[in-house]
Amino acid sequence: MANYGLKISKPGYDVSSASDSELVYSSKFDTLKVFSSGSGSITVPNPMAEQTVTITHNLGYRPAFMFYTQIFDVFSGSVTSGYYMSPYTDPVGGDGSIMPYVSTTTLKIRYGAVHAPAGSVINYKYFIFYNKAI
Amino acid sequence: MSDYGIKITKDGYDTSSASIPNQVLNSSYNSLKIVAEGQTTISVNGDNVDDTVTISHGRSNIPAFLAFAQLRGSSTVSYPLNSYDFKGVANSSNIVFTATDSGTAYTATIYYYIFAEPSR
Repeated sequence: MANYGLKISKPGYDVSSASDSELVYSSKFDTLKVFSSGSGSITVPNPMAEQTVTITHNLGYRPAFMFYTQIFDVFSGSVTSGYYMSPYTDPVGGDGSIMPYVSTTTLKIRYGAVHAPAGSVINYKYFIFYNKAI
Repeated sequence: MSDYGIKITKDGYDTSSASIPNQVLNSSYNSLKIVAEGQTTISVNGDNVDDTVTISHGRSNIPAFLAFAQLRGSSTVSYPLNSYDFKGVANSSNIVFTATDSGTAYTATIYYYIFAEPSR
């Protein structure tokens, strides 16, 4: 570390000797800075069709992001209570994928036409960071 | 929070009452620390054999990481890891990014973040 800065160690660790992963924070390292976050839902139409969620950020560059979504569990026959980190790709034929992608103005998530039965309500959550994607 | 530490809230929020999501920093909770970041490319040569690029991370663990890529020459959108054509895997020495080669040559441009935290 340079001759000055701020370091905070995790409980039980000596800040003067803690490794990078034993620190809660160090001004030596950048962090993922949250620009915006939120949640929403889609309802699968009848007949089933591809849907695109659009989240506007207008940052002027392509930002890093994380997107989590419920999915339809074919084994239980219901929408999961838990959230999966997207992209989510259905490996068994058909267009069951859930694919996010970001531009300089929007974060979009494409829900494939057959990812869940008609009428299913799928909730999602997202984080958009100030840090760039590419 | 314990009897001592540092808390910083977002603009407009009272530090004495702000919930965790409304705090920028709380020393009671870890943060993902970016120890390295950078840009690299994969030259997909169109021979239907997936192509890779290897990044040496220099960590003593298998680090958590995050990456995005522009694929198939698109310069307008970026895709996260494990998209249709873009995968990444870390081991104790390297992070290997793979771009699917479907028979058309292009250059995949990747931006990555490597964290101090281990992935496992």
